[in-house]
Amino acid sequence: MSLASFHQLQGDKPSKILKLNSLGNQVMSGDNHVMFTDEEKTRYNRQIILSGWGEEGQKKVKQATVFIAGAGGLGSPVAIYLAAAGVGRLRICDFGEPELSNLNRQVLHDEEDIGKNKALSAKESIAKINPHIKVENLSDKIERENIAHLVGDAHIIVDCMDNFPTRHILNEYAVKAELPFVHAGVFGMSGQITFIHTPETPCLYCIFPGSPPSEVFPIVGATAGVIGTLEALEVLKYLTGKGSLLKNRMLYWDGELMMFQEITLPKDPKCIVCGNKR
Amino acid sequence: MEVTVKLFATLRDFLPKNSDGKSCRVEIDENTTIKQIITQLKLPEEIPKIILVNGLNGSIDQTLKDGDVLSIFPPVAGG
Repeated sequence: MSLASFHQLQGDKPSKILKLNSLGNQVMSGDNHVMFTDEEKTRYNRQIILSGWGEEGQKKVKQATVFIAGAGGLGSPVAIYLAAAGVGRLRICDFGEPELSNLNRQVLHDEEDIGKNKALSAKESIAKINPHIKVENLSDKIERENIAHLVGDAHIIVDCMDNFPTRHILNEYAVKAELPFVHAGVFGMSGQITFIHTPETPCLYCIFPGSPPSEVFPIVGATAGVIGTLEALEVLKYLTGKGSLLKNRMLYWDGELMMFQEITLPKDPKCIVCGNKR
Repeated sequence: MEVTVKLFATLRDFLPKNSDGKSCRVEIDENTTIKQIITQLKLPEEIPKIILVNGLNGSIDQTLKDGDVLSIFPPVAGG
């Protein structure tokens, strides 16, 4: 199913139909009815003046809905930068509550938020960063049974999870709904990120069939900042059509050695998740 | 013959103590597979891995030749 027909099934307006940009990437088509106040034009000016972005790109950003799976170490920079950039609607999902040991990296939350739901805490923080956008806070645990409901009419899924079993649930749904899915993970001073959009790219299961064991992982907050910020940038590139996405390649960042390494990712034609969708 | 093994992220803890912290050299016999090297370095078998040989995608049953550079990447799971 194409994303356009997916949206039509969801009862969305046809203004969200995708088109291809000059690099062959799918991008949201702008809606000429979207207007900006003078305040918004000033707020977003530094990105609007970016070549290839402009008011047209900003309209696409304003029309977009992004599903952020997790409001922790990765979810914090993702939500902050997407909110600051003016993404019209963020659906932020996290069933957890901020703990003191989260605060070295989860910069959406502070000591006063301990005991609140993380998605609610995120919503409150973002309201101070950009009151022009809408945040929908979801406090559910992501499961196969509720994933369609949680993602709703979002145009893209951002993986800010801390475990692979839930990532595989997100991946399966993204493959089924043909939604783009930005995957990332962090550990210590290293991280990885790729842009998944089947059938054009391998899915997460092609890359990592199975799950590493869940554990309490070491993490420096700045690591989540680096990788989460890269995720936010990929989302904005997808929405505006600017640049070339991290499709079919994984970027590994080793902060201890301060090195990036890129790996070409092949599709697995026998993949049990996306293998029959080529 | 000898190959260079580069390990990334969490796998770097499995490098021998005399390594440079990024990679190590491993003496191997002819027809040694990547799987055998993974076993020799005691890398956890249950962790899925991305394997590159001289920068190109490799498979666990692939054999190596003298001078090859084997890179092994684990999934980084935190968030």
